[in-house]
Amino acid sequence: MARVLIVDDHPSFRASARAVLEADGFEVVGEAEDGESALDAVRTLSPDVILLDVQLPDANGFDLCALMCANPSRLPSIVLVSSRDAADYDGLIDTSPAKGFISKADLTGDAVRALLA
Amino acid sequence: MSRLTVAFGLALLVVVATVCIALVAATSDGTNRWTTIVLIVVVGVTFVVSGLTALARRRENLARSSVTDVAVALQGGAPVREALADMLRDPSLEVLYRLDPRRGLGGAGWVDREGHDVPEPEADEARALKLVELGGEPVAAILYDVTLEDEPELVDAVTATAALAFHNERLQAELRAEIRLAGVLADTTPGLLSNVDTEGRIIKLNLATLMASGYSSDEEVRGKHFWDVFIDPEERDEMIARFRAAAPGFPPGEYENAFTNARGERRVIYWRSAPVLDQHGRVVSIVAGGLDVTDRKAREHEAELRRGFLDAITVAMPSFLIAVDPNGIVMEDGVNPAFTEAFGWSSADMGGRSFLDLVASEYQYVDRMTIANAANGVVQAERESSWLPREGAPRVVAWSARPVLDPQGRNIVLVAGSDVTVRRRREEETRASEERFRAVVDSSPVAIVELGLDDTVKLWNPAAERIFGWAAEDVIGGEAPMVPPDRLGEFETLVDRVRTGSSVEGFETVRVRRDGTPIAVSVSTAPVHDARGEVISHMAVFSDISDRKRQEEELRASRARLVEAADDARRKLERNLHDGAQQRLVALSVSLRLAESKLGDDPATSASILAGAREELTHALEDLRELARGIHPAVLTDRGLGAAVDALVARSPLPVEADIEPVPLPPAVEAAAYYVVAEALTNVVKYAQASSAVVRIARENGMLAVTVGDDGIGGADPAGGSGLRGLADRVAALDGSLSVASPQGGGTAVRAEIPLVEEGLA
Repeated sequence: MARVLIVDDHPSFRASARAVLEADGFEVVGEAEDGESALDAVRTLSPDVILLDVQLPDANGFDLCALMCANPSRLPSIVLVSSRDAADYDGLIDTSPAKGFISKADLTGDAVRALLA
Repeated sequence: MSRLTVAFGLALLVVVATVCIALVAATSDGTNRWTTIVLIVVVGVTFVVSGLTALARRRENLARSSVTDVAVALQGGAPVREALADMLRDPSLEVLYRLDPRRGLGGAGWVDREGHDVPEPEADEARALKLVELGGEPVAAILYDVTLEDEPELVDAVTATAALAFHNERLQAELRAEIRLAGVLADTTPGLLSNVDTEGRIIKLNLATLMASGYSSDEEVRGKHFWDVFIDPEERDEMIARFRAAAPGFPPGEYENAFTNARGERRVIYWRSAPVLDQHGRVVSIVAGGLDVTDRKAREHEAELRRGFLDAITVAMPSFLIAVDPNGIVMEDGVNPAFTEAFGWSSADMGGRSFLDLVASEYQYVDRMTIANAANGVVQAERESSWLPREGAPRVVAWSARPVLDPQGRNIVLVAGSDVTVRRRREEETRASEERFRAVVDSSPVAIVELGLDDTVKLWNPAAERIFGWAAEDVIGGEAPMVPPDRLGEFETLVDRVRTGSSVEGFETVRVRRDGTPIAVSVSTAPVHDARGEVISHMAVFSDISDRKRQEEELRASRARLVEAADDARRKLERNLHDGAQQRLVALSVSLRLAESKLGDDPATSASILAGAREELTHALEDLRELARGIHPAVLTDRGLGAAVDALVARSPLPVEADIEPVPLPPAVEAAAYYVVAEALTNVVKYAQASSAVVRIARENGMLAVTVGDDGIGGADPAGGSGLRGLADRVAALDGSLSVASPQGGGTAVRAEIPLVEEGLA
């Protein structure tokens, strides 16, 4: 079972995402509400998958993603999420080391699995 | 008495005396001696007396015979000198005549028998002098040989007898002298004198007449008819007829003729003639005296030409000429056509009237003095007075008066003037125009500077003094001092453009004040042309645009802040939507999807998720409502400013007193007022530590005044905080103003004044 870290500053989304992913067979190992705590959680929890909000109070998801992938020994699979549309990010998603992007409204365990496959 | 006679007498006296002494000595007794002496004395005396008597008688006889001879000789018609010379037996005898001093003509000197002047006669060693007198006056002098001195009686007797003859001869001598003088006079006078016989033949003419005739000697003309000499051929017949008609009396007459003389010269002679009569009253000749008036005629002709020329000038000249007598009365024919044309008064109208009638009353006194002074010979300086034409408005005339002699030689005053009405009016207009220009320049709020072609300042108005700080007297004549060194190139370019005749309008640049501070100015320049269209200087007008520049800067900053505020608001809105309602809706969407997936297998969980979703949806709606209120309060839109402010007051945690005048307001003003109250109340709650607040909204002097006050700690900084600045911008956008009064410990009062410009609102 894949171990998931949810990084988002909105508690209501974190709760919904946990419910959906756990219902779809993921193990949610932790939550972080900003970039700094997300990096700490990655170090301590070593998640397989990070559900990373693009718009955090102290960082943006693309920069944070690049930072997390800078450690070559362990590369988590990162899935970017946002309440916005993928089109709003205008190609940034394609050049990012993340596995892919899911609009928050479309978040399901299947959608995450499809990106990780 | 001769020396021989004396010698003989003395010898005889010696003999007689010797005889007598002998006789006396021969007589012995005394008585006889005395008788002898007496006898001798008696005989002697008798002898002497008889001798002297005989001598006197003999001389008398001698004299009588000479006198008789002289008288006989004179009676026979012999000249006095010859008669005297014969009688006195002295052929060298000379007679000179003394002219009668009372007659004058010949003077009072001495002349010889021919009438020639001689010096006053004097005796010398060879000749003695005897003056001959008649009636106590000398009429002649006889100079004779000194040997005749032995017989003075003879000389006396003879000359006395000849005295009457001498008088006659003196008269003749005087006549000769007069004739000689007349001849000299005739030949030296510049006048012409000629003598013609009754046939018109020239007997004699003087030198002047000879010269006028063109001949060179008397002989050539003597005996010729005068008309052949002095009358042109074509006029001769008429002259001959006139001369003959005048015979035989040849009464005095005058005649002027012009002729060409023997030398071909044209002469004009004025003649007067008179007859010369003999003792019987018959005309023996005619004397004609003449004056050569050729030159005078030429001068008269010249004068006439000059007068004609002057008359033509008088008629043709555009100036007015008026001739007045010393009393200021206009002479007959005393005004020229230019005057008549300009004033409508003819010579006939003006002749005999006073010049002063022509002059407006306020000028009459001085003008009277001017004429009087001119009449006294003082040339008067030009003056101006108002003259009244026959019709129309008075004219301004510049005139002068000068004393002149008229053709009759009378002192008159010539008034010469010209109409300067139009010139004066133009001058007046020019002066008024200059005054207006000066007033405009002086009162202009913009600096006006005139620069000459040499870049020197010619005009510097009070606004220029105010704006640039230099006084006019400091800069006029010098170079423009307000051009900063780094703008000299730009200045030259500007000046060059204007010199070529172009204008420059509203050129914005920088100049310096006297104290060195820069000043933003807008310059407009235009060339000044002279009458020929040449550029002679240029005018530069400077407006101080520092205030405008600052206002523009403030406006630009205010706009930027408004844009920024709007951007901020949109960003905030987007954030709020994103962070609030959107997140809730996203979560709701995820929850509903989860509930949907659990619906069949796990209805209880599904129902629980749905209940959560409903709650989430309620939060989302609240978020959206709050958001909408932040964008524009619905209560303001729906129920107006009063209700909206009441809602703010109701929501405030502090007690707030609201006093709101119900005023119909444009939406923008209403919104601005609402946000002033909202922001101010927010600040009161956040910072003022106040126990209460007051809100007042009222119309004052066409403005909407919004005041929010509190009883807090004060000390608020109006410039600090984006909230207040945003409010100020919002109010300024409506031409209003926002002020904050916030003394330390004295509470804070925020006051906005917004103009109510729309019709019917103010």
